[in-house]
Amino acid sequence: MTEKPFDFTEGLTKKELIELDACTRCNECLAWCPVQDVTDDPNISPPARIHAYKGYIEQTHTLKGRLFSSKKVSTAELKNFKDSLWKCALCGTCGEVCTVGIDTKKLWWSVRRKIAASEVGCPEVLEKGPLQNYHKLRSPFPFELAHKYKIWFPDDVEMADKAEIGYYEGCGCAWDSPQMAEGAVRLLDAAGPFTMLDPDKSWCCGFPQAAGSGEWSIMAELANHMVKAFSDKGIKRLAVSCPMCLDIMKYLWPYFYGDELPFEAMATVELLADLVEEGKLEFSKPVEETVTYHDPCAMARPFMGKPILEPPRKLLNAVPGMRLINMERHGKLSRCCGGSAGERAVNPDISANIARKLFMEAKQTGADTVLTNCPVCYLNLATRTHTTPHPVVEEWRAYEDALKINDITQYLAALL
Amino acid sequence: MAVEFWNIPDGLIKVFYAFAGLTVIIFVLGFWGKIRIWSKGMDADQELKGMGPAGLVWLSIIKFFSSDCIFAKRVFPRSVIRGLMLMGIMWGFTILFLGTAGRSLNYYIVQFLEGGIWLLFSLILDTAGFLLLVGIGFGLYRKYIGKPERMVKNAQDGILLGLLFLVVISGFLVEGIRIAVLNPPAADWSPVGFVCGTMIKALAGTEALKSLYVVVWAIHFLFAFSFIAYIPFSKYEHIFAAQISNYLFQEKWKKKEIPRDWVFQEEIAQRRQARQNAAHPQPENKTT
Ligand code: HEM
Ligand code: SF4
Ligand code: SF4
Repeated sequence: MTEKPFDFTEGLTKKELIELDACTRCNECLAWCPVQDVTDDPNISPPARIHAYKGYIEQTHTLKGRLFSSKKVSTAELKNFKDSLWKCALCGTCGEVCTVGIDTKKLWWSVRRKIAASEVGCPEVLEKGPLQNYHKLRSPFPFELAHKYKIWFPDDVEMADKAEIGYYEGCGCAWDSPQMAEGAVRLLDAAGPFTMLDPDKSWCCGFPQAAGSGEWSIMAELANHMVKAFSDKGIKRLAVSCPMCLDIMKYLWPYFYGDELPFEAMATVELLADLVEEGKLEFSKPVEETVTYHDPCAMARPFMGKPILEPPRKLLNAVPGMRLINMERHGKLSRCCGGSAGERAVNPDISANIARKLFMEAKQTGADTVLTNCPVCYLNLATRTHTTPHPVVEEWRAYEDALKINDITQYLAALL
Repeated sequence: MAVEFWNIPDGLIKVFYAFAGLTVIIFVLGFWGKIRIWSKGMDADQELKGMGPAGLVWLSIIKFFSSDCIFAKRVFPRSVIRGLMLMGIMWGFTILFLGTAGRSLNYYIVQFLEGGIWLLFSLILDTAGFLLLVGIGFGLYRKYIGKPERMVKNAQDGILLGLLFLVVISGFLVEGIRIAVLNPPAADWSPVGFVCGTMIKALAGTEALKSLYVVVWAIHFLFAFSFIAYIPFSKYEHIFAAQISNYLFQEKWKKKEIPRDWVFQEEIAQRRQARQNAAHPQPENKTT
């Protein structure tokens, strides 16, 4: 009996299959891709990837492929492809600029899922890290959920048992950038009662496993558990600090839950901006400072729903005396920090160099502080120096000092 | 007005028909291969829900004429000059393609290209050819001279673009030689052809031109058919696909996906059922 050959089309959507044929190799996206910025290697660019994957489909599915090439895509070829695919930070910039409107972020994600299910699998660090940890602990980090709030939840803040406003920090904020979660709960607390899940019920959102490791099989159990846990707390509006958690909540949870979510999931900054508008939150301390704001990828170019660009700016403009200037690339075309979707773990060099580029761009605005609102951006910007710089970012040294990095909620919490 | 086959030996005309037939067969096979793969995809987008091959072909045709495509709406924000280039190529190619079809219709079925209409028709086709030439010229320039900083290299792309360039050039030469030899009264309604004709007239005598004509004519149809046959096997298949990706991208921020019909469906349904049962417990079945 012959083994059934791997089907490269199965599980892709019609749109994705069409998109593979739509790329004109116009090379526009190469000018914007953060990975290109620090590697200068067109072989790992979006058009090269699209061309390769389309080639696998043609090789296995068309008459031409069957006549002129071997039936099976070689393992070496797939390994190369996998390297290229996981060098991408899933920032979605290529899709935003694509001259034929390819929604690349979803496409890369789907293709990752396929490659993870193929003989080459996903990168080992992601398999051994977030995925195995999740199976054991329901968290991407190797720590018990019971301790999830311990290092950052402030003693002087009170959490209601049940409330209409809920808060979900996300594992990244809890363990990697806890200042962010602390800032958020202080602000929410100032505005009124809010509630959170019991720490042992506060599972991972699924992003590191689904996007990083390409593993979707955990999602149904996860989405069911989480939606139920939030509903049990009586939550109507859920503030989410990590933009990637929010993105996957909007994109995949409803599907895997099998219904619309029974609460409104929104970014913490969105909820806070609403609260400022409703007059429940006010910043009294004036600041004499110039800041710039970095739009995290998952807010600037989300999978689903509108980009979240205005609320953080609204919040900053509500602070008396604050001057906000935009970076050259901001909003929908903001520069990626290089940390997401496994990049930091799989390609630490690329990741840090991208962060240096972003840091330089922020510094060039002349601002005193760069604010962001994502645990990964925050972490990656703050630790950008931990690997050897690529020659193309050598100039970063000139910018190294005198730019403070902070999270927007932590920053605002100090101004209450 | 059977100008198509002026001065072409019968044997060559037979070859022409054979090539035309072969081109159509290869093109249709290639195109069908693509459509078949697309229709294997899962339903996740409302706009494509339940569409089979026929629906996808239809969508591809109607969306070809969407403003996104004919006004290169997604290219202009990135670069005005490339937007113009694309419009030149797209309008040029489309008009020439439809024009050639119209000419065959006129020749074989109903004669409608006469008098003023014929003159206008000539002018439009000539202009379209010119737009196409300028567009491709810029495409070649961008590929080999004023290159973007980073570029994916692919020999096939260059060869095909060059091929298309030669199709247009040889087309103008064919027209030019014919004008040079026949001196038709309304040649100035084909300005580019007229200019070519005037230049060619100065170069060679009528007999030499007549034999050159056969060669250039053969090159023209050979290259044109090769290009068309190659479309579904090269990046030029974007001609069928790019209008659909453009169309769906517009909906990106607004839309919700419809549930995908795939492996997890069963698990999702089970959990949903369990949830509903818990929310509305069924009274225990009493057996009578
Ligand atoms: C469905 C509508 C179409 C769309 C949306 C579309 C889109 C595009 C885009 C975005 C580019 C890249 C432009 C750039 O480099 O800046 C391109 C290139 C090109 N397209 Fe199209 N196109 C369409 C139809 C056509 C048609 C009908 C033809 C006829 C042959 C054509 C031939 C070309 C050629 C020759 C290039 C240049 C390729 C190169 O530089 O190598 N396109 N197209
Ligand atoms: S998603 Fe971002 S990192 Fe990945 S290929 Fe596109 S632009 Fe590059
Ligand atoms: S911008 Fe779009 S069409 Fe152009 S090379 Fe990149 S993916 Fe292909």
